[in-house]
Amino acid sequence: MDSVTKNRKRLGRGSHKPQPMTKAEMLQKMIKDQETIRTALQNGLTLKELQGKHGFEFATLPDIES
Amino acid sequence: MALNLQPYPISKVDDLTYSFTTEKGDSYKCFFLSYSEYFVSYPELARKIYSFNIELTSPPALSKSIDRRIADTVIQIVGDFLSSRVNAVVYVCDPTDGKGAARARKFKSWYNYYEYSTEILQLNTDMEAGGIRLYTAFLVHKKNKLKHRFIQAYLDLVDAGEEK
Repeated sequence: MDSVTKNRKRLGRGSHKPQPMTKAEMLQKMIKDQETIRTALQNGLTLKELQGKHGFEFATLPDIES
Repeated sequence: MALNLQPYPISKVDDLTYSFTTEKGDSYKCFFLSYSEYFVSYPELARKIYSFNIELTSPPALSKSIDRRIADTVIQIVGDFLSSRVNAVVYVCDPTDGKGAARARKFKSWYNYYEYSTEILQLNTDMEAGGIRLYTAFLVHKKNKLKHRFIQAYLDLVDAGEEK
């Protein structure tokens, strides 16, 4: 779980829903997720492994004509 | 696809990943990451919105000349993804190396060429908060029945308050 999500859950403790992200947190998370995925791919991880490890969700892709 | 594109051969690495290699030897992986968490106010759309990602996975070639076929390949991949008329795509230009604006210009130019000859609608906007500026583009098929709702969701995201 990334730090932004952890922080949201912490802030939301005691209520039924986690606190919504601020816009700044949202932009930070978009960048951080890109970095995490890039580093993982450079280290030879697959997206399937990333899904399990970091909780990312990726689209299942159809065959493509090229 | 009606366009006279010359994409590189695209391979499926697994169910989640496409890959292609340029004639200079650069290898790229392409995939779509769910952005549902950013669209919780639009539950009927949230699980249909993805960010498109392209990552260079080999050491970069030394030549810096423009390779039009990379654009053609990206257009093929994203166009194919949107052709079901179900999903929409956000492209976030990575700013971490200071080249976010350049990436935005490049992506926009690819789709300016693409937009008028096919059926994809593109919106380009910047998102700014907390000292961060992200260049983003939003792409949806013009015949997607939820097109206007998708656009509203994206504009709401762009216009979200600085702090909630």
